[in-house]
Amino acid sequence: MDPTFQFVLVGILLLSAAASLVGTYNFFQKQALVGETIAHAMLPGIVLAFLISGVKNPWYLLLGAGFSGWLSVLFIDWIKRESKIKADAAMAIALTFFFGIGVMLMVRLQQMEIGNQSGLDHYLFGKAAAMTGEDGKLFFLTAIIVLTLMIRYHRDIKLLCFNREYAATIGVNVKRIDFILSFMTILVIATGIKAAGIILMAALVIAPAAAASFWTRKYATFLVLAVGIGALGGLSGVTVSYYISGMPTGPWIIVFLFFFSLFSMLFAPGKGYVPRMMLRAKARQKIRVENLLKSVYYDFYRHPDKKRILYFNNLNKDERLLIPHLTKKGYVEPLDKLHGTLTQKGYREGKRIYRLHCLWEIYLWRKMNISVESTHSDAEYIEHIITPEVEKMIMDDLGYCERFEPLTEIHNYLSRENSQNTAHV
Amino acid sequence: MSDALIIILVGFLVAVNSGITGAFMVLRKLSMIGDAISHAVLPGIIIAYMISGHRENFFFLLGAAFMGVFVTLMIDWFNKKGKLPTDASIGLSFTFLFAVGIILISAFTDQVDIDADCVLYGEISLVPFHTYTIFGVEIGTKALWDNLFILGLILAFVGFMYRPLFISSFNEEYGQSVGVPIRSIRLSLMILVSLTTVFAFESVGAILVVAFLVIPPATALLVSQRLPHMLAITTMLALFSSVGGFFLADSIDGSIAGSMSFVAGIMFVGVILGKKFYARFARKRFSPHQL
Amino acid sequence: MKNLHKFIILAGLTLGIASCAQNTAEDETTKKELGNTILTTTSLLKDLVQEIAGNDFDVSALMGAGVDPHLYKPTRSDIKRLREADVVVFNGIHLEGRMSEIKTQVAKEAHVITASDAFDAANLINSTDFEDGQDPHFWFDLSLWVDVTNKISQELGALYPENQEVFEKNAMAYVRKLKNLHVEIMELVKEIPEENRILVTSHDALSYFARTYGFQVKSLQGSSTSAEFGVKDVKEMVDFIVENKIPAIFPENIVSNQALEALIKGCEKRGYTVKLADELYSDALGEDGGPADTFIGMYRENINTIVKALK
Repeated sequence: MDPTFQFVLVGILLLSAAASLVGTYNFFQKQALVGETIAHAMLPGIVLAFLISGVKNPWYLLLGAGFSGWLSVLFIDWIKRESKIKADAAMAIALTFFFGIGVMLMVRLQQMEIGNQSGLDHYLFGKAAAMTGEDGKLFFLTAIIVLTLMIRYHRDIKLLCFNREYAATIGVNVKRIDFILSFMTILVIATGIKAAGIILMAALVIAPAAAASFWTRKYATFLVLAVGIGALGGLSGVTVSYYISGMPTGPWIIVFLFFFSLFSMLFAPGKGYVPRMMLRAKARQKIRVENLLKSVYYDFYRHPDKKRILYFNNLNKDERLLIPHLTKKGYVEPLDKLHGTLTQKGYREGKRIYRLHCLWEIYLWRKMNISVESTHSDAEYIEHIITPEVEKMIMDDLGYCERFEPLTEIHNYLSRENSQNTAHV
Repeated sequence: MSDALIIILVGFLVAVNSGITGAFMVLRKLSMIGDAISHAVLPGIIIAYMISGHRENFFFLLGAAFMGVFVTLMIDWFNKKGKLPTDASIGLSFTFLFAVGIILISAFTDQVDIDADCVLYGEISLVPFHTYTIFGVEIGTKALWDNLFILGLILAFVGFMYRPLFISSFNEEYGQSVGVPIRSIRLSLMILVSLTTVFAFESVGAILVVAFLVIPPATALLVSQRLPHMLAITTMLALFSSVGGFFLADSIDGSIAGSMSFVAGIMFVGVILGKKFYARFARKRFSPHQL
Repeated sequence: MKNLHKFIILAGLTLGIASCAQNTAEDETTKKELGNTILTTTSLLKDLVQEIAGNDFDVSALMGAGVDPHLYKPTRSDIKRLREADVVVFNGIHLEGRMSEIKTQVAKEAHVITASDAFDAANLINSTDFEDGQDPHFWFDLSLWVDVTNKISQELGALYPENQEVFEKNAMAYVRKLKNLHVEIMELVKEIPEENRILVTSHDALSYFARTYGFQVKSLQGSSTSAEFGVKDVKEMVDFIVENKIPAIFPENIVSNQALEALIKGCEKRGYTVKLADELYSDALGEDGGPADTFIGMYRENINTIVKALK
């Protein structure tokens, strides 16, 4: 295999692993953009390091960059501690404040007419395709440090991710953990930025954690998934740029990571957009079906003279469209083009829904002392949700046996009310 | 009118425009949107160049504005429909669009120097040199007119939509329940922000706009959490930081944009420290132990 | 709502001030008395104008030594210099980025010379499919620089008729120097074996030099500082270096050396050693007092570096 490919691939895999791990924590802290912030906040440090040393040595510049990046993280923490400003605003303030100072220093430098100053602002930032074995070794070291720290403090970090206040009350040294986490963030971003550039580092911190968050609720799985997605993105980007010329490595990694995140966002079971929408559509369909069956059942119940004939023309357009579906499900049996009837199954289902409706009305009436008329709209909603278990609990709570018939109860209640009203008149 | 006055006025206008729209962004946890737009405009610029084939400001501005609106809509979709936190939505969207921009540059325009720095971002110290001329008559500084126009748009929007904006900024669910068209309000706000930002980039460059979008509103939020007060304080801070920044830059002969954002940042730090010391002072004064 | 009224009053005030601007601006359009301050954008142009104008004129550059035109940020004093200058010399071809747009306004108060107007645009290198995608680093073609010298001397002569003779004399002397430099370079280039006349650089700014002296230029990145490259590009470049046995590759001070180091490492793995040569100058002169503080000095430094590395 080609040595360039090997260097870049190994470097990217190690870097993406370290960055994804750091990203998971920052994702929970709602500061996914910490990479972007630190990268910009490095400018004053870079210029100062150049002013002091006078040479464009990447290691000196990196030292300055790391220092001012570190200061910016402290600044963000200070803002969050001393005020009610949220993480996102704190980061934007740190970014612009530090970058503003950096621009001022750059202009000062420009006036000093030092010969080799040009390109200083992006001199430090490398490109992923030009990684070398040395970078790989550095990333290996970084990844090892990050992994060790993550494993050593995994319990505290996990607690801090989900609830800071709780973590503090059970005796986690929040300050120390914060320090360790910000140290790891700086370490990863500073080492990564020299070899991979700002925007790839920003993306490597954000995207794997964002994609992984859709697939699991478990912390450990989340970490592993994030590292896996980061690695996959890195591998895909490097491969594309190895087989097609003129395809920049870093940007392609970002594009792949973006599509992985988009895919997760759309299709991850449970939290994804499409499954959520499908679930919603299914629930809506169920409610429509149940409502139709219930109203047909009620119609038959109130008008026994209709001989249980369902006139399709009396239904509205949406309901008519449901008829084929109901037929397929065996709830409705069409007699001809315009008429149909409920099957045994459909009649039973309609009765069940109506029974639940009545049951809820009675429950509210008995327990909350709300009049049956005003409980109707609430029952319209609840009837679709009550499961047999809940039904049993309600029955038990009301002290009824299973043979109890809420329909008759409601019927009696209503006719009693009616007769009272007429008597009153 | 002297150059100094024009620069201060443009700085102030940009600060007010960004500050007012930024206040709503800070309340919605979208403070980094300025930085996001500054990166996301890249593919818009490159595509505009590839289609027109000319280095023409108008096309670049058009492409950038289009991409600015696109990225805000993308962020909004990821956040509201995709259920991703705002910060991750912002990060995901702009890194992707920027990467697409770099890929386009590397594939098609790598022999021309075209990026946001060279062709889109203006420089505040040069604004007095850009003027509008209609029928041979000079009618004043371009950046002033551009940003006044944007200010008009913002004032009209905020003026007509004040109540729904106010309600939806603090509690979207409540707004929804009282019948405020949350979605259209939010989308028009996002579009307004992106247009403000892109036009301001064209006049004065990125750093100043990104700074003014967040620092003055956040400082105002430290002082008051009532929206009208916040907007008024933001305007005042905009004035202080543009005037203060200008004179700082003038005295050290430094970067005007850098100084203005520096002054805004110093004011933010000052307000936090001031509040802290005031609280300590107040506590001491009314401490029961002293009695 | 009260605040809205405040805003509207404020906006009205600003508008009022803006419209005042229009009145005063008109008064200023009359050109001031011609003094002898000449301002150039780049340090290269400053050197040229100084040679032509001589010591009677106050010539200065906005972008001093080592300043990258892409990154230059004007300060207040720069604006004052722009306002006070009598003649302003621009490079043209978008080298100044968005600053070139101020030309029309500057022209109202000062005399503007654009260096790239000195020659026909057909002489420019355009390796893109776009009409205005020309490479602005034309000073590396000495014949074009001679055209620029003559153009500036003519324009200055028309402005200061009393100095016209001095300008012409200085320009002629300078053109002679440039021609000597050309001959000298031709001689030096002969020392490099024909198959070695390949410049592998990190950023493509030497295409005019290459065209004049028969070199081939290869770069990973093209002339855009934002462009990136992929693994295959690095691999192909390594293959190219190894196959053509290129002795040295050239860093440029605008972009990081990381890419070139990757090339060197890549060649090492293939068992071929390629040297990293000294830095080449491209967009700006070197420090004052150094060997590259004039255009000719800079050019000579570049050619010495190239010859030393490729011989």
